Amino acid sequence: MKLPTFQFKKSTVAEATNKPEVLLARSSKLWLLTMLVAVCLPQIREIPLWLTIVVGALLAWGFASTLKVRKPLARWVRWSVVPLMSVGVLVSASGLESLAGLATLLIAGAGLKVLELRTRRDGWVLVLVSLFMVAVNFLFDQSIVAALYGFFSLAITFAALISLNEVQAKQVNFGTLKRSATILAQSVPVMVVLFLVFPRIEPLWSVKSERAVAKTGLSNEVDPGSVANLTRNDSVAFRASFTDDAPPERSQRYWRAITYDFYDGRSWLNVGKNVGLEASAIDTDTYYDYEIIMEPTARPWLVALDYPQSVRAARGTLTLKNDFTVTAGKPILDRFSYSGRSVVREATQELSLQDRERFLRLPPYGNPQARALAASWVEQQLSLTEKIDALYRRFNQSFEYTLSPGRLGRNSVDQFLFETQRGFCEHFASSTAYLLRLAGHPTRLVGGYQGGEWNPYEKYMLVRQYEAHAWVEVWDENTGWRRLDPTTAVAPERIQLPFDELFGSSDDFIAESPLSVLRLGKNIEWLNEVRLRYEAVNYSWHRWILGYHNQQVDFLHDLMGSLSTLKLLLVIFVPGSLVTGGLIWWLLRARPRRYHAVDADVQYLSRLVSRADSSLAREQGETVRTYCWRLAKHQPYWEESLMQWLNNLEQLRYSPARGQPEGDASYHASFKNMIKTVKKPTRLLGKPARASA
Amino acid sequence: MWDTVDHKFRNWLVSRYPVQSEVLLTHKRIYIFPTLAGLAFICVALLVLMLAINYQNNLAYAICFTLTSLFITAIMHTYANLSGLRIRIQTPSPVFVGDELRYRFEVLSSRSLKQLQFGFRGQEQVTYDLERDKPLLVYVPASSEVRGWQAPALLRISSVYPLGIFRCWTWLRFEEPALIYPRPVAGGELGQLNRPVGGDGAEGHVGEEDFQELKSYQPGAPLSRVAWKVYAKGYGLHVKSYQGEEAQERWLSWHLWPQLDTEAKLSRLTYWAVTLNERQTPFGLVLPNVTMEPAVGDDHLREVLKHLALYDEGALL
Repeated sequence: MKLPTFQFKKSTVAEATNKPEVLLARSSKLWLLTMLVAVCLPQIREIPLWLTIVVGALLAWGFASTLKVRKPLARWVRWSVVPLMSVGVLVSASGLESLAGLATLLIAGAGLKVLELRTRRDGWVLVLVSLFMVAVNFLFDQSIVAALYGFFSLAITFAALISLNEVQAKQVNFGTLKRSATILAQSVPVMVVLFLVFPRIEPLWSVKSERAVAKTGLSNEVDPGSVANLTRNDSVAFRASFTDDAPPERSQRYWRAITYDFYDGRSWLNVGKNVGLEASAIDTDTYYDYEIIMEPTARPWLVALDYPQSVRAARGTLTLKNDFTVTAGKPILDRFSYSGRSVVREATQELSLQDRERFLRLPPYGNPQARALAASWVEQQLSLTEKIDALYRRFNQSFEYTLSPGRLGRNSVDQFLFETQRGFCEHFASSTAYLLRLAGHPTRLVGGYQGGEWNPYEKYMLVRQYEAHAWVEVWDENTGWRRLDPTTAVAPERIQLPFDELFGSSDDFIAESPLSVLRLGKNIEWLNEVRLRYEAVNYSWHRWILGYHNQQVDFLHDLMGSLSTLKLLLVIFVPGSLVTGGLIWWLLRARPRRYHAVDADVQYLSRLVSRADSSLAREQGETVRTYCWRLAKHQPYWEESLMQWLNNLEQLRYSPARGQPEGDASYHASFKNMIKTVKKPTRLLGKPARASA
Repeated sequence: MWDTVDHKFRNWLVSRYPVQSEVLLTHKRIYIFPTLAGLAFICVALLVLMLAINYQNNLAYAICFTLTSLFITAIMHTYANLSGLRIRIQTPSPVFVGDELRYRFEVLSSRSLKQLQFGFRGQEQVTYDLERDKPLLVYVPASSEVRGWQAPALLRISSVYPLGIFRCWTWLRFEEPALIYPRPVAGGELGQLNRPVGGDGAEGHVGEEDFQELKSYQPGAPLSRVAWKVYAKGYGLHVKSYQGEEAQERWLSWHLWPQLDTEAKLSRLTYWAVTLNERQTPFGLVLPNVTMEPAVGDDHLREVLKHLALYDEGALL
């Protein structure tokens, strides 16, 4: 029972959104689905195909049913999807690497949640999952593009989050995305400070198995064809930057990775124990200081310029061994950066050779022709240099340096030296070392890289897998271990020219990526420049963002001198509070009070005309009418359109029958016309630009 | 235990703020705390941090720090969505016990505020969007269980906009009581009302109403009696009157139903007051402490209901 006079008119109560049980609005659902698409897209490469199809179908259905194009899925379909998907995920995920398994699990979960996307709480769960998925995406791809995309998908995710709390609009409103991007942008400064100063902790538990990282680069075994295989691969082996930005000449860029001391008749193996190198005084000033960022190889050895004197890494300890190779002690599973100092010369200048027998050992039989050749050298009592000359002459006469040497049989050295005479660096190096051992000289094979492309924009050297190389070291009583590169005898251009220039036309060169820019770009000048610039940006990205944990201590040290907790706290809190203060001011700033929508138009006019002449700005307390008259007096040409607009405006403001300016076509037409007139350059009309004040 | 703490806290809150009729919300009155969703958000940030540490992934670190930084930004955005709100209480309309009571507040802000939630403790919450510089009337429901003056409880205004990971809220105390009339309960017979206090007389025939004449409109006459057809013809406002209605006066007396207790008596009197007013029958009121001469009209009814509502108010507390 109610009295009529006591009843009240219900005001427009907005839909409440701050309870978890509230049903999702259409716009929220659309945002959530868009968010899922954005977040799942980069992981398509990692998850099984069937899951991509199922989740894609679920999302498509979600869109269709939200937009009322299709009916919601029948209950029995929904109920049957859940167990099928669970079984599928269990089967697939067990066969996948841990990360891909994680991605599969997350995406399957998100896909199932789409089936039950009803309340605000469901929306919340999806947003949280997708935030985590954005981070997981970075474990697969850390390129600049991936990072930009990641932050874009964060913006979409937060737009979805805001839409959960927003006025329930029927349509997707892009103001939501704008707001989310604003909030994200406002969070950037503190994020950057945290990124710079937050201490990087060693992994809490080991998550990467050696199995998970594909073994690339040189292996601990060289057989005929193994180095040539690497030329099919154009991926990056490592990047090096030099102090003073002065790299050694191309012919001196021998990057040493591993030595092979044992020959089993077919392959060269790294079996002997090499102990740590005793530090020796550097008796020359032609050394190079450099910094290397090595791509993960899943192998423990690192590269160093011949011949390294010392190496150092910010994280972990490196050992420089007495065969002048560097090891990290454990497989390199992440991008790894370290610095080194090398003296560029062709021999080690060592005085004594330990364990001489090791470098002379050979299988007792096989390769009779090679044995005969070596025996003839010994018979002629040739010196080491003469033997090498004889061999090089031989190579120079009729041998061919090729990426596709063909297969070799049992007596591979004989077959190469006397039959096929076609080979890649490992063929030449292997047979040279074999012959020299037969002739009584301790030798070893060295695996590494030769060359590298200097990037003039970012001043670093990029070495790719296809620049892998094998050469020989022979023990010379006068100079210690001495580098012999038999490849230079048959193909001196291998050392003098960039590798891709030499082999660019060969079918086997980077055969794994036939459309590589490398293949196309080398001949087109501008394309090559674009490529170099892109690689330069990429290098800075790798070095300063992805590899920041390697630079952090040095960087902070350079920035602030000696580090202390107080300084670090200041670095966090001073910018933090500045940003916070600025943000508070921005959020709470008083906006000019506006009484009517058309007042904005008056403000706009005033701003427009006062740009040319500040005296034309509307004064405090000046009515629109007197202001328009003043403008008309100043510029009579404006009068007609100004008055037309003024009449419209006054009707709108003061006559209730006219209603709101939105949708009032004649008002808008008069406003547009007026602005157009005012904007016209007055000079063309032959009238004075300024009236005398 | 919790109840005592809660009670003490509430008392402290009540004593903390002076009673005002208009309040401007500033940092002194606004509280802010993460919602459950906000705590889950922090858990996700920690998970991402774990991921970043274990995989030594600087971009995952960046995501973690973005979430952390955004958490701080969210505090300010949520705060800004409540700060600067001006709120003024308006005189509430009286209701009957058991009917929905709505306190009225006028709110205004120089910034547009979204998804503001108003409500009293344990009562239904209402949500409004507020445009900038546009005053808005907000009706906040409260229960009305006891007749008499009822001051508004602590009003809570809260908001989780825009991100929902923080809730900021404020407690406000206003002194603009609402009048609650007794609940109307039907009962008794009309005939009993015919006599003045204690007197005897014949039963009336209310209800057998025949149209008698048109009288010119006086302010206060019920709209239902206005002769709209006549008005539409352009003869001015007139009120229809019926035979028999002015002939008898009715008395609503405290002593009519001695067997009922106080509240039941009040309820029945309320019922008859409303009913008689609807029928345009003049009625008087006799309470132990007050006597009102018979009259008709909404003003009279309001006066009568107020006396009924406030009868022996001291005994209610």
